[in-house]
Amino acid sequence: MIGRPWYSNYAKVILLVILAFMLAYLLPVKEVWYGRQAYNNLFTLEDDSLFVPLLRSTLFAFITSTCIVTFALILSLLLKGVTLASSHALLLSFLLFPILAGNVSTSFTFKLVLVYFPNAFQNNLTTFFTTGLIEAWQFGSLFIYVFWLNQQVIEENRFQFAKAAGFTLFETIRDILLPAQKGLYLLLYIFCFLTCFYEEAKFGFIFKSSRGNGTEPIGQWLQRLFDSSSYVNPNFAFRVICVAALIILAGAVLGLVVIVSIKFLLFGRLLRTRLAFSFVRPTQNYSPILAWLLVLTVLTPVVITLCSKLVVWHVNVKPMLTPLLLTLAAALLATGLALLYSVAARMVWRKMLSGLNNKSIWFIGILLLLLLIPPLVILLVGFKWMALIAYNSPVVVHVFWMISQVILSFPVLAVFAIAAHFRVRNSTINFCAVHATRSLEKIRDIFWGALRMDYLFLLILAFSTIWNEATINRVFSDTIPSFAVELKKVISGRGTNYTTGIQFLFISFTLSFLNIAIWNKIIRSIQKKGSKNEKIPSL
Amino acid sequence: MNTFKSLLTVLIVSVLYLSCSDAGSTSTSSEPATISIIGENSSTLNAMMAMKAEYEKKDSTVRLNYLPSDFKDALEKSNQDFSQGKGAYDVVLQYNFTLSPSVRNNYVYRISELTNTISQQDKQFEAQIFPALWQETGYYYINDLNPSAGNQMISYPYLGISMVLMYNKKLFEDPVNKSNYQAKFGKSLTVPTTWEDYYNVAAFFTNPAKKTYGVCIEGEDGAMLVAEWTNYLYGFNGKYLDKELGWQSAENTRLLINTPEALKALTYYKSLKPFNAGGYATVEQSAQLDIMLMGNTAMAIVWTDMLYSKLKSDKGFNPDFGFTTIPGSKSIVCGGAYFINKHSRQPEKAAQFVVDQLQPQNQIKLAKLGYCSPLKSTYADPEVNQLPYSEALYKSLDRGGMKLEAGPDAQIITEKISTYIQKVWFDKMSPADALNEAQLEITTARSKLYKDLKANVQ
Repeated sequence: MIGRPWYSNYAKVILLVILAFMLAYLLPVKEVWYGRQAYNNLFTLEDDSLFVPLLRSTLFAFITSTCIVTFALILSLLLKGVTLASSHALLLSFLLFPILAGNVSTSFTFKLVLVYFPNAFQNNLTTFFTTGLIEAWQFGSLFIYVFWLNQQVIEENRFQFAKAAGFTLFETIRDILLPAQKGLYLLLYIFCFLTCFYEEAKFGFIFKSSRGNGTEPIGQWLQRLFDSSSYVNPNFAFRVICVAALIILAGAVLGLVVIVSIKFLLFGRLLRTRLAFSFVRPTQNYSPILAWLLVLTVLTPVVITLCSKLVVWHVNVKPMLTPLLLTLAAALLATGLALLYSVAARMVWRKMLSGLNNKSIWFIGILLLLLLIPPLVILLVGFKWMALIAYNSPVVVHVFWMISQVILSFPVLAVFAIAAHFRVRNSTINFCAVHATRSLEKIRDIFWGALRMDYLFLLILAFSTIWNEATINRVFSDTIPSFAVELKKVISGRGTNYTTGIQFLFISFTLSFLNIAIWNKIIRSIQKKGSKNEKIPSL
Repeated sequence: MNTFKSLLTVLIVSVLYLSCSDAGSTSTSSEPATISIIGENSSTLNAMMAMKAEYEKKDSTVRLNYLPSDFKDALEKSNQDFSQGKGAYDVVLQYNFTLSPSVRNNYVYRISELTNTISQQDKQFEAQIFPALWQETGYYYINDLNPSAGNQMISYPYLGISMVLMYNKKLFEDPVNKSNYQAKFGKSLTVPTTWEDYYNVAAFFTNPAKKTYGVCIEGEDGAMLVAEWTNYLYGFNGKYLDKELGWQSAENTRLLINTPEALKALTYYKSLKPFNAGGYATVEQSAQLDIMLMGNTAMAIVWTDMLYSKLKSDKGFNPDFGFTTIPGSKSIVCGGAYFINKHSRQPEKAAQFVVDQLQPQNQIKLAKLGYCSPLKSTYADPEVNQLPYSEALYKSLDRGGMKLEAGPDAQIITEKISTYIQKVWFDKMSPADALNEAQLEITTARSKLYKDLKANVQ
């Protein structure tokens, strides 16, 4: 056995303590214990029990995620003809636009777009279908891009071997492309499922979902329960919500475990199948045309919104400067911590985190468990923690804001970093261990050198996640203006002013395009290195 | 390495910039005291914020910190602050349904505790507050466990709003429409004052081929749907509970959901569906006014505090719309109160601010900026009277008669009623079945609520 570094055991303990802290921070165990008598009450709300919205949200998440992630994978396969070195690689970056714009901006954009399509929400079936399409626009485009990026690291000599060995198109996909995407497919599926499960912004803002018209998702049901319990007192309401959230969390975990296990098996079966489908290998490269079509699909709602007669081309960015800088700082911190954690985890648990297997999926699942906690609980816990700090000190409030954002964005960033580190071979780590390479050198040579593009991509995603975050920002919005909170203020309620809302949308779009421009600059630098015949760092 | 250095430089610059930024301050003895006021982002709060500089000039020992928020955020933040006792907000501007939990949990001052030092002259505005409005928004039980002990004044109303009938003048004044209506119904086309006329006018103006409609009803799930529905319920002599004031409610208060009057009201409400513009379930107060502004809908029952921001432009008020009281003899009386936090660090200054806001001359200034005043005298001002909705609002607040639920069971009643009204609208249930189911569900939920209230006295 290769010698383990001296800090290995300490690192394991620290990593587990961080996990435990994250769980303890976001799981109000005491409240669940005190509110335990509410268990029975949740099952005796007659027609208004939590089962109907829970089932509804689970089904919506299952169907939507399956469709989105599967189609994204298929479309990414069809983009095989676009390589990182080609000019169309820069075009494909626009697929990142929806995720960079954020949830509130997306909801408002489609609120304006769907004015022209009133049939999109005639009844609850059309409502769910349309919401699914919007989710596909927002997340599907990201998944297509991530799958496509992941394809770029498959060694070219494998395809050359396949060609030389006379593989059919189906065999090439089955034996070379799909195995490389299996882990990512399952990870993205889990992420998409969790996001769709707690989808509220689109249901609530665009479609005004309700129990009465059969569209109420579980998050909205929870909010209603909280609102009516608040009339007793806020502490009582918090306990009731914590108990309900625990049941919802258990239900969602069960659902996710069953669904992911089935998908794991099915994917494995597909990879092992000896069936031969004869797909005709296209003689022309249609990938660039598909790339253009996808980008046009992504940008069409943006164009419709900007062409709306409400557009007023005047933007006051001054109030957003401070949150912008804070977001950048928080993104750097969150990304740095997520990377340190995932690097340490990769070095310590070498076998488990060498790829997506039965053990690593549990590890990743525990990290993502935090995403299963209802946003309402996170909000209320945030208020509880705020009670411990000095409201009047701006420095203290800023620090706590940063800590909160880092904690909230940590699971997703850490999971994507862990997935990127699957490409780091154990043999490389063991080689460095044998030669007693210093830790900083290991990080520089094994991780940073090979994966810095992934890390920069992660930083851009971290920035977008924190900028568009709409839960914990509500807690701090009195002191730290938040883009998502300010936008929400002018697109719903008594202060509705769509003209001001579109100005905010303009800021959101501008930032998204700026992020894409930065990312494209990074890709261009990679392309230049490739043209000089230098080794392109793997993605 | 260069990239890393660049990012590190940006981080350091950001930290330096942020540490110099003023994101709030703790006042020292020489600095003005800050009064933090939280409320829903609305034209009401915008009007109050416009007068901020004037007040700070008057009282240089005070700085006003307005915190306009989304409705849910304002409610949750203020509730959390009340229960945690941090005193982050000195004055909370909330609607009447927060009276019950705020007073019962002892979160707020009775304003009379803080105005002892204020002169009687400065409190003369009290005689001008609409009595029904004050009772609904600023009074509560002396002891909610013993309702027979009577009521007490908690605070002053910060707002007086109602729902009025908005009508499209062009449609009503069109000679062709007048002639056709006369021919069809044998009487003049006028803005309806009875519910029968309201139905006839709505039917008359509806022509899907020409995309004209008689009414636009708010159908978004929740308080707004129920508020509009309340007009119809009371219009047919129905009510929710057997009580006199909205916030009154006890365990044994009789629930009156499935009465013959409520059934007539719901049947009537459903009968308006063919005449309705918009998607119903996606239409809330703002969307309702946007639909009216398109000019092809005859009537809508609208909130008065939404009108200023929607109808006023640089050229003045949109002249195409008129306003009057809703059909029948009753109107909704609604608003909110100035709640002064029991953990406020300067409750007396907060009370002085409240009293100043309610001075008649300030109320007039606020009303000209879109604020719906709780004082009668405001509406006598000639300029305020010029506001197209002013007379209708005054008459509505003066006649009153309708109560929106504001007791501890308000949320339960609102959400259940909203659910079942939507089910009726979408033909999932008959009105009779819906009211029976609502009665059963609300009875069960209220019973549980009052048990929880007794078990969780703070």
